[in-house]
Amino acid sequence: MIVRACVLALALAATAAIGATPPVSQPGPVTRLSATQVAYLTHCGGCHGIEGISAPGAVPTLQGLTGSFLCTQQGREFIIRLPDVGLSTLSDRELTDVMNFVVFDIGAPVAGGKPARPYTVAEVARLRRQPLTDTGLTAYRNQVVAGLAVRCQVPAALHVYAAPRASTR
Amino acid sequence: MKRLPRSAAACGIAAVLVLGGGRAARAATPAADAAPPVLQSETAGTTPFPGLTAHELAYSAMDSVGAAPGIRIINGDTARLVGTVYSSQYENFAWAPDNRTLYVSETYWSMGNRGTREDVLSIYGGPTLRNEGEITLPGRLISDPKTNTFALSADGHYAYDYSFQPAPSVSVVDLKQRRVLTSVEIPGCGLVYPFGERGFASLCADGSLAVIDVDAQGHYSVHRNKRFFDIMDDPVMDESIGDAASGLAFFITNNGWVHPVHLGDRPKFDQVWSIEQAAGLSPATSKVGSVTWRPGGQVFAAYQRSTGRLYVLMHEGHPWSSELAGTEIWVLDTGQHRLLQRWEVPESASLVAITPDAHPLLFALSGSGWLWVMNPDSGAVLRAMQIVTPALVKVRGE
Amino acid sequence: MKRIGVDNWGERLTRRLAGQLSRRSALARLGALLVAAPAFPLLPVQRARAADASIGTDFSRAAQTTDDQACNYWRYCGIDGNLCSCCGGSTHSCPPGSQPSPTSWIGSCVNPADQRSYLIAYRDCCGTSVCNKCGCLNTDHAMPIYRPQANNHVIWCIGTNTFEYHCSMAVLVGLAE
Repeated sequence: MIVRACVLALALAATAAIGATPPVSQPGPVTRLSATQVAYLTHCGGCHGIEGISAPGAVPTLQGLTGSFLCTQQGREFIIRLPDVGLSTLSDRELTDVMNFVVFDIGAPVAGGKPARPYTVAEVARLRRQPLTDTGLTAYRNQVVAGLAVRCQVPAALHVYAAPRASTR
Repeated sequence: MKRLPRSAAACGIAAVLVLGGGRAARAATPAADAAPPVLQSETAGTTPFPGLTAHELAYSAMDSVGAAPGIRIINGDTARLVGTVYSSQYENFAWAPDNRTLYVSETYWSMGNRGTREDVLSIYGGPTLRNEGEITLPGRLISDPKTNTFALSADGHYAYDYSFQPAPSVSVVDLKQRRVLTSVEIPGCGLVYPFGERGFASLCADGSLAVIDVDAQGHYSVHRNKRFFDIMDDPVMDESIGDAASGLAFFITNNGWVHPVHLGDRPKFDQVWSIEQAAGLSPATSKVGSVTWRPGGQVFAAYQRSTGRLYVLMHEGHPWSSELAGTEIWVLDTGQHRLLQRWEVPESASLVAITPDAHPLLFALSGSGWLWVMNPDSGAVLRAMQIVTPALVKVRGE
Repeated sequence: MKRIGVDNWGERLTRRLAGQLSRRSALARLGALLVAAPAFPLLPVQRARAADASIGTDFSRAAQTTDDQACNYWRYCGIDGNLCSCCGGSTHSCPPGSQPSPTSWIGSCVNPADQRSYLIAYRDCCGTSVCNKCGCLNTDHAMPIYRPQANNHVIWCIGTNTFEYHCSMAVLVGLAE
């Protein structure tokens, strides 16, 4: 590696042996993350937020809302067919665990419509082979969310994702 | 501290010479009386810009203390500054096929660090590279400058600007009508490699290629191909090269694998080859502790269409070191997959470019503020000039 | 590299040249490899992990845990920009005059003290003039810009009302294993 950095490492090792400087760290116990949480955080959490809340208007909020998508068959399929979901590098098993985490732990299933069954590996494997890569994604999402709002008691905050985006032309 | 530009001193000297010459001419003419000579007044104008010449290079500055952003044109034969075009930070730029019109993709806020955001495609041209207005863009990617986030179609009719809101999309701009034709949604993908009349390819986060075709009315289709590289272990680098005229792209990975692809509605993937193997070494891997020669830098490679040669900045390093500056330039034959030459660069270089003419110049640029002009056959350093911290480089046709 | 002030270039160039000069002789190279090994006294299980070639990266093998104003601090395995620790903030707080971005990229770094992998959020502080101190560029498992989940060249100020980049934090999200 870099010579100067190595010299620095040696110097610090000397002081560490004497017990001089404790490592710089955040106060409080460290959160232990499950493999599923690690997968969510490294694939999605940067933009969607560590707890599923992010920049309002810039990134869709997941917290409290993703469970609503289980209320219709179209909604249930939609979130697996999203290219960033279905075409992720996670295995079918890993992706199933992450998406169940996203809809049940981050999101919150809602009343009305279809019962909120967890995704199965077979189901996720099938759906991710039909990614929404050649459609106008935003327009389709608006349609899906509009369908959810009709059938189920979805949170008010979800309605913003049914509205057509202001024209960008 | 503002340093007096070298050119100001040169102008002063030129003025004295002009005045001196005038005086001598008058002394030779028979004088009607002994009145002192009347000096000619000068009117100040702007030096005309005849267009980017074959041996000129435009580079944009990385915004940093000591250098404002902007696009600077330098002449490789004289090692002199030719002209400067203003830009925001985090910009991109491209020359029209006439080499006289410059398009700059940039972003401003009304109050500097806040206020109303404006994403624009600014146009500079005419005899003195004057601003000729701008086209409003619906958004842009704000990032350290990357070559392939903004590009023109080969005929210069369209511009493609990669936007990231953070939903990724590409603004297709009709440069003749000066308006955005459409915004193409490219979920999970990024960058633009133009081909054909109104097509472009983008690289995708799962290791695949997306091909987009747009019609004259702005309707588009996105076709995503199967994965051709392992994104998590050995990703294709952002500064991989594409040539809009021929549609030929070289997608080069961290570990030096070159994927030649003929872009089109049905992209054709040629045999992948290894830069290290071309040099008689084992291919590089991502194994911890494996020190070997690897491509790297910012704009780390340049392609010479006339000879099919790739000029690549190489450094000896560990895996995940793809942004380390190169200590050598390797010249590779893309047809025979063979190393032709390797030369040391004077310090280390992060950017490389080669002019497309019959007697080309090779440019190497370093983050420490040096540009070296080199002979592309021998590697000899012809001249050097001090520059500001470079971000992107373009020669004619880029 | 992101917004690193010019006065950092001399330092970085010197360090880089030093690293490159050392590679030119086999003896110097061997020396460099020896000092790159973790220099702390390790417990047997940690020694086993340290010897496991699948754990960690070349960066983590040369990293330290005590000085968060140096580029080889263990959390900075994927950082690009100025260290907020040098700018009046810390690895997890923005300096006054700037605000943290809600979006970032999340990578993982191995802590040489326990050889375990931690998730680190490289969250930028935005809204004021660039700090221009402690410029670093480390690229462990850094992905290209078309895979933004792990890219460190996007200006991660999305969600603030500004894109003026000031510095980068390295916030500890949790233990990954």
